[in-house]
Amino acid sequence: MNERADTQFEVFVRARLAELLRFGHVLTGSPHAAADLVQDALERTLLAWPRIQKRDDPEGYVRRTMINRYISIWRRRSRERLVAQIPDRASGSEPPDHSDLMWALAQLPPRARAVVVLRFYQDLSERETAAMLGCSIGTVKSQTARALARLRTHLGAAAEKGSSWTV
Amino acid sequence: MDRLEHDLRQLLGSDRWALPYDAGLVSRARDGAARRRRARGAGAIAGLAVVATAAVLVTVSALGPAPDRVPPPSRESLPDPPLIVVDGDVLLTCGIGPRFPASALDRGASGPADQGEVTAALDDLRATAGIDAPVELQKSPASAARWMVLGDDPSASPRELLVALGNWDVYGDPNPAVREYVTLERTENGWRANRWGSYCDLRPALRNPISWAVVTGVPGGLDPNSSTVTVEVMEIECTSGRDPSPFLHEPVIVETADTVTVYWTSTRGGETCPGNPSVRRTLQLDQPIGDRVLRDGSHWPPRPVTGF
Repeated sequence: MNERADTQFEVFVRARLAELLRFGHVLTGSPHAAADLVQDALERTLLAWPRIQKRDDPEGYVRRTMINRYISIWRRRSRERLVAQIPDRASGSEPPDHSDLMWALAQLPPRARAVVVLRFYQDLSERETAAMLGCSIGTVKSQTARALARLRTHLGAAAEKGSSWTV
Repeated sequence: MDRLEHDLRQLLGSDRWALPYDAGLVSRARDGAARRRRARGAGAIAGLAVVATAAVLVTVSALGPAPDRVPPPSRESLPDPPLIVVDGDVLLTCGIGPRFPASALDRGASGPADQGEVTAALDDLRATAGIDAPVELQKSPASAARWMVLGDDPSASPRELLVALGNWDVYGDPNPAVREYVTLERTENGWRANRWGSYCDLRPALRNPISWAVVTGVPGGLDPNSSTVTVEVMEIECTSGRDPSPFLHEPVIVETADTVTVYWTSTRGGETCPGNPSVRRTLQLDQPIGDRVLRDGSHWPPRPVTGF
């Protein structure tokens, strides 16, 4: 890679790394998994940089790479598994903000979680989400509905344990 | 927008997900890209060599090293506490579902779970979850899939089983990308899948209210001539991002001729998950570390510490 392209890659990464790490964290639920995912995606991006930088959206390439790797092979990290225990609370204490929803989110399989993140964190439309995932709009609709239904089911289980979230 | 969607947007948009800028990550990405480039080049050259001298290449591959298997830690090296060791068998956990002895990884749980009922529950999961079902069940019905009941807790209410899916070659591949599992709960009509995932983060079980801390790295590297090792330690459960210093216990260090294994725990606390800070601590060994492998005992099997 020539020096100019290398500098452009450096500029891109410096500008977007924090947001990519945040995206990875939202996707995986774990800071360490997020860092691994971003590093893996940046390795692949760097190899393809001469081709990618000509496009309008190199960050979209990186995010698509992160999502594909997350869905296909990514491991769940320990923190996410430990949060899968519904937090116990002493009776009468105020629950932390969204802890039950965090737990419910951690129960979603990777593809379902990716759809939720793209739709409700990145605020992508169904069409944009379909383009990111490489599937049809109909698939995005059904996967979104199923993911939300699953969250409601898990939140219902949390409600049975005495949390404040009611379905 | 209903309440769930509103709360989701609020949760996902909160600052808890923010992570610090990591300049080292970019360096590591560059190193990784360079390795991939070299591997591609080596692969192209090897391809040409195959065409030119196929017999030689077959011989070379036959002489190549087999993947190293990690031997299970010997019974004598298992510290209890903090581990829970029963009749020489350490209890393990995936973080959810029942705990199970390490011996179950070889031969499954000994218990009265009816295999036919478990098969039916797995087939039901395969039918209802579709593309979200575990990959092992997407490939085959339960009767043909690889699975094994690891954990069975008859005293739990409701009773639960932990089922490993696929080939968990824990000692042949101690750090895999995928290690699928399902938990089944007992109902009036048999077993029902209530949770499943693609990766069981296998760790030794602990007694409440203790949780694991993990050695994440050795800043400055290892000095083979030194018996002191400075490490970075971090709690792994959700601790609301607290400073771990007041909660870390004294580490238990097990030294053998080949390894130094650190078992580090802390007192559980906190519930939110904004990301945990790490702290530096110094370990005092009985002998200089030499060329022994430093391992973190919060994994099963204990995992080499690679962050230097």
